[in-house]
Amino acid sequence: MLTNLAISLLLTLLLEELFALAWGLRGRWELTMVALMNCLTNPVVVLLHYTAVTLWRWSALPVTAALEAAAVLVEWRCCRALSRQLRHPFRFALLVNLFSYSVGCLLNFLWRIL
Amino acid sequence: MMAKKILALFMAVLMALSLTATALADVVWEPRNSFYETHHSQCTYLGRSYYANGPDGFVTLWDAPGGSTVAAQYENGTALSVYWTYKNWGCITVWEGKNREEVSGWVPMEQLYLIYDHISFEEEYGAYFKPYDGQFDGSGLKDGDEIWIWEHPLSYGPKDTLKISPDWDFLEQLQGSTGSPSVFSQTYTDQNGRIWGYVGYLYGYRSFWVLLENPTCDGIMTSCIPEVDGLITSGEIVPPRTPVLPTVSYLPCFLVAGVVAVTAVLLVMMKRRRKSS
Repeated sequence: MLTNLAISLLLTLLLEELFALAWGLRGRWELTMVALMNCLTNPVVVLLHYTAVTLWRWSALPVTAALEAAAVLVEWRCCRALSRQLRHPFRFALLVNLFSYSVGCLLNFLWRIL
Repeated sequence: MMAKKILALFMAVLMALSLTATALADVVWEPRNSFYETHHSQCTYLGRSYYANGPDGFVTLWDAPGGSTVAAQYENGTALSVYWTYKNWGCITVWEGKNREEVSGWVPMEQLYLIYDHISFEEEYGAYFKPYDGQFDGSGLKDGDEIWIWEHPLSYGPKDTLKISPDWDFLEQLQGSTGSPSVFSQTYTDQNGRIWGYVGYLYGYRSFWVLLENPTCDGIMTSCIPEVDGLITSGEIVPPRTPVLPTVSYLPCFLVAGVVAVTAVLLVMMKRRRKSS
């Protein structure tokens, strides 16, 4: 579990920082904000997902949807409160999470078949 | 703007690809367990059943060998199937609840007590086995009769039955016919002189024994005392107790709470700095 938490956080940090750079965010302030908002949401999402889906046997789809939606909302609030460059913080928070989630699914799929 | 469009296109392709993920399955059961998935080349297939026999009266299934997250816990005496082993750890899968949800986890093999099965029986009595020689006579059987199938001739009771019906040619398969030999391969004569026949596989039923002269076991008494009760009474299995979560299983929660608390403080500091600047 600890390994899963660490890998997930590191991968998400890498993907979301790359996405932020591609989005046009520049400077230590903005990139630190992206890193911190991920440290705030990612470990909680991974732990709650594991607890609900693996331990409590809740259905994966609604749990994933609810947790990802919560992460988007928290990250949107962080971007809105802290960013000096983002003009559309909600759009950024939504797309950066969609991006990291999709790449995560794809990497997971590739890991299983290779 | 162009970069954002390319990014959006890239994401659309990624999301479409992520929907193509499919379940991988094989003839042998493969658990949905991340440790197994990353170490399957180092795991060995076992496929045998055990009773839980932890020193504290229960066993704890972990997410990985030596892991820190509890997958499930079972009281001693619960029958559990170990499908794969890694070093001295066994990977157990249980299907629970109405929807038969899979629960997979790892437990030290020394906390399990092997259930005597057809392999154990063969190891002990294999020297007395003889080739099957047509002793099964199903001529007296009719539709609706049930042939009892046993894990081994010393079992407390049958593990299942084969119901004779026009839909399944169990009798033909057991008796054999011209050009198609019987599915019985070996026989064993027990201490009461009764002859048993062994079948390796028949329409999904694997590795079972049939009492050849009395396949429906008319008049045969089976024990109504579960085998595990005797093992607990004799002290071979530690008496069961209600499972208690181990302290180490809370470690990920404490770590995550710590990371979140530190991050929240840093974010608040950033917000104050932004306001003051």
